[in-house]
Amino acid sequence: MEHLKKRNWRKKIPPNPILLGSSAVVALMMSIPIVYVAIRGIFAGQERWLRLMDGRIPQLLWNTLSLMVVVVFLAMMIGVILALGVTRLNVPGKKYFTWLLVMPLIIPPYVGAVAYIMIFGPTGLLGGIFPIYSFWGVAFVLTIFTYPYVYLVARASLKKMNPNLEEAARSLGLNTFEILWKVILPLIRPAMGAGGILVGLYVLSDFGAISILRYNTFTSAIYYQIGGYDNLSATVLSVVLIGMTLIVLWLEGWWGRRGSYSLSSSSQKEMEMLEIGGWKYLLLILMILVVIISVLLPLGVLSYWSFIGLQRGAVDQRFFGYLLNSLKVAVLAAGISMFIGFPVVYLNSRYPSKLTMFFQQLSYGGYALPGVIVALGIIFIFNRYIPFLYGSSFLIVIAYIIRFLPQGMQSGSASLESVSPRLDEAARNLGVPLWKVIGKVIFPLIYPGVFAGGALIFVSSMKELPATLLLRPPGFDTLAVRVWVEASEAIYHMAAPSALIIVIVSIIPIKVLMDKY
Amino acid sequence: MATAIELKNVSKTYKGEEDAAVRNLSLKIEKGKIVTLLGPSGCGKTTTLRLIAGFERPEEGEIYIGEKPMARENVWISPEKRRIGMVFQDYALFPHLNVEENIGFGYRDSDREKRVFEVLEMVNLIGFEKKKIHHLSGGQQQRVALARALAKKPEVVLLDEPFSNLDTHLKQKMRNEVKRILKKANATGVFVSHDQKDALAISDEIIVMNNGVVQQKGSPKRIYQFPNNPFVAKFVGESNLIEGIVEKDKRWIRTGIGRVPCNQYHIITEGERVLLSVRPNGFTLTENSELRGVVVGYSYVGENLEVRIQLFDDEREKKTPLLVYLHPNEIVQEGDELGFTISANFVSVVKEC
Repeated sequence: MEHLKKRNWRKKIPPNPILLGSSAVVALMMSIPIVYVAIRGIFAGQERWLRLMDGRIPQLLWNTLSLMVVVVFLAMMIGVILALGVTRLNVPGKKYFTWLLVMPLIIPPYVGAVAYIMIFGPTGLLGGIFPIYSFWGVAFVLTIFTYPYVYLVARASLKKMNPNLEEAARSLGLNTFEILWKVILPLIRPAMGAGGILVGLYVLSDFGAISILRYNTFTSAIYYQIGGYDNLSATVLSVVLIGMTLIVLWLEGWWGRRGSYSLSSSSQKEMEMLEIGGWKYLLLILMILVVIISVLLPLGVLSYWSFIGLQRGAVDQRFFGYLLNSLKVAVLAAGISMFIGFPVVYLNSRYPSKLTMFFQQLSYGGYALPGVIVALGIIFIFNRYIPFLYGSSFLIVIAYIIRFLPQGMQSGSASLESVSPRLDEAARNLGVPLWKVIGKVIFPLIYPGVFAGGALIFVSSMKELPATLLLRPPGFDTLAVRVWVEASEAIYHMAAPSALIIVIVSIIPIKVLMDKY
Repeated sequence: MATAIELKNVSKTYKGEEDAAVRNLSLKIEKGKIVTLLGPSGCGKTTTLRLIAGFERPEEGEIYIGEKPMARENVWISPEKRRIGMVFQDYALFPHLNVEENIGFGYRDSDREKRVFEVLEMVNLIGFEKKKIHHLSGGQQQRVALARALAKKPEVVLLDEPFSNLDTHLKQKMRNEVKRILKKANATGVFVSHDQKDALAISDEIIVMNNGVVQQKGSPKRIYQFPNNPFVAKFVGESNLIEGIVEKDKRWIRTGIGRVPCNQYHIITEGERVLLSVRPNGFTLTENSELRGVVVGYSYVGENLEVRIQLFDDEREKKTPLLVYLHPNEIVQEGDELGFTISANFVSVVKEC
């Protein structure tokens, strides 16, 4: 046994201990708050569990699940039809719709909800026509601002599809609709599923839109429990929500395993568009409607109320204070994340092992989970173990890092994969130690990816609402917080300028998203 | 002669793989020689090179460079401390640095500028100092890679498939260039190649590998003319494998197609059943020979006329056609009956190993 052990140790060149150590620290920091919440929740006591099981949980489960099913279904329908329209069908003007249809992503759903309250709310332009404070109101808002996830993933998959398959189907006598139904849709099914999962995860984690529209799901219930200082009940609800998230993530793996095909096409030829006759005009109308409802209309009302706000002096000293607060925490979170994600990503790329893989997975812990849970974990940890920082805005920065570091890691890891490990080896062969290799070879080559990741984290942080609301020290308001507070009190002209700035900042990552898919 | 590199009983198995990439490998490479590790992909040649460079660690065995231990029980010298030059298959030039900065990368002595100039001169790239890597042609990139590997005057330079990314014309030119430069730099060169022509053209010595094991070691001429097992015979050039029995004086082998001369009498015994490798170059057209056959196909490839000939055996029964190279000047037709002699210089006894 002893002999075997020794041999195994010698098999691998051990990774650098400093990198390994720092990546362990990062992985722990990223996962501890969530794990803590889960453990506290599981051991919250039988009595509390029974009480919640009897009362709140069934109602919340119904609210959350029904909303998720409806939104996922609608977003998948719209996303797939639109993706087909811009890639495979001869819809007029589709060149413009290709990017117009992604634009709803610049409007965070809670900002979209505010815009639609301005339209359909009691004092709104079309007040009373459509009940916006209702299940269908929430479903409507979430659908029109999340369908682009499905659209993007489906479009990417359609673009990669081998055109020879369609020609083969045609040579076998299938008509256009049969090709759509029997060839194209089955082939993009994994992509449809992946897009649907993204939407599902979003619905589970959304707090802003839901709370603004006065609907109640797990996230808002957890939020109000924390507000009422019943943190233990909040952990119990969190455990149920974590469980639901894990089930959705498991579904993703399950859906992916069931028949995913390699679509990559070696053929460089341009794909022939499918002819669908008069249907194309119906599709064109649908595209125009979607763009109006999910982009033009919300932007229009936000601009209108911003203009009124400007006239009434909403953009004053205090407003710039909120802007500065937002920038401060978002820049800090993005800046720190760019550094601390690197060891984890580098080790997993260059010295892959079970351990580095585990660190990477731990670091992704906060990604899929709702901000309220991350905030709850941070409240516990800091309240108990690091009380001198409790109540400082630094907690918000920590929450942003836990929630959004994975975005930066994905970006950094993608650019690291494009740098051949042979370059590391060449540098070390020339007598350069590892830390210098990183500084002189790796960083100069991957810094665009690292900064792109930082930009993503910055934008996500600017938009973040639930953790900011829960962790902010008294009097520390960000733009996102102001949007939520003013909209709750129906002071539209005060909410609109902050919302518009968030929308403008959110334009930054659209280019990244379009290139990625 | 001093030994530049020595491997003793080295084994390496990659994680998750059943078979060893390199199995109990021992070899010695003499100082100043150009040696090629030749074999098909997956034969262990690249692993061997990476073990020497220090990018992989053996789980058993010992590695010495210039007689100093690099890897063995309780000894591990990391790659940056081994002072070995390496030219990578894709050259691994740093895309964010120019030619000069690439060559001087990691060079810490005060004569950096002078040395960069020296090696640039050696590879004929004076004037390219400030060029960006992606503005260079494939051949120029390779020269930069070589210059970078030579900058620190390493005693050993490792080259991983250095010619595989070049087109045929450039390849021939660079083969001569690289050989000249290595000799001039007085360095020991270890190449990895799957291309027998590269290996034959540049090497002082070839080490043929398969399945992680050395198959044969020797000069290019020796490897080509006298392969000692069927794998080497088939992998390095083309070969005809023929069975036969050793005759009395051990100078002739009686085979199904007639008597074949053989001068490896020191490794065979009378009456032994042996397998012969006969290179297609070993045949000469001879009018009245007992070896006769009918042309069943041919292709003209420029430097040779490759002819497939059905030889008659004693019972005039047909056997597998033999591959024969004739001078491209010859004219043959399918169905022609031709007579041959075989030169003993292209006949080798091969044994299964």
